Amino acid sequence: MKTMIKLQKKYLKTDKRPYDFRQRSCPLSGKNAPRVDYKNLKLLKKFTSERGKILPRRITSVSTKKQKELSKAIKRARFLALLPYINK
Amino acid sequence: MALYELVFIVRQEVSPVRAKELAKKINDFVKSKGGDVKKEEYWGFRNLAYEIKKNKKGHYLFFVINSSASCMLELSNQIKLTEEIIRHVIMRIKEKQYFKEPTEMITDENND
Repeated sequence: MKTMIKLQKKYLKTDKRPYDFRQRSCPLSGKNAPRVDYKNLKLLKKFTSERGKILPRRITSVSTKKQKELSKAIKRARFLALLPYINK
Repeated sequence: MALYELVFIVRQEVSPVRAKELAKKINDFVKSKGGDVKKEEYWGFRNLAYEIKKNKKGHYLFFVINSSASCMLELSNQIKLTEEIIRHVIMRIKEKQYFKEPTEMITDENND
């Protein structure tokens, strides 16, 4: 009987979670994370779409705090014509 | 006294020599007001991401300045009167945001 329950639990676990829905960690937080700055264009380009739009947090899994910094940095870079407002 | 970052773009017809002269002018201005320039960089003759006043390229100049707020305001007004400069930004930065190493704009070769 005990083994049965154990088995069931195991089964449930794998059945209910076919994909891993656990939160991925923010790529800009942590110890060795790169600095968010309007001068670091390589980094900013990773967080913009091909059209030049800022990618939403749900895609990049950036934390709220860092997303705020990021959007400010991107907007600064745009004003200085380092990044485009739109990429046609 | 506080730290400020200044970036400005010089028109495409202007020669790099003249652009550097403008940089020197700003240097002198800040010094005359009792501030000091901590860092000065020439980012080169770069392509603009979009046209500004019919310019497709521009000389980028970058400064980190330690001075008073009133001096920066005056500097901003001076820059506005300079016709060779098509765009400028002055940003207040925190002490910990200042690094002695050159910025990514110079160290990364293909930072475009």
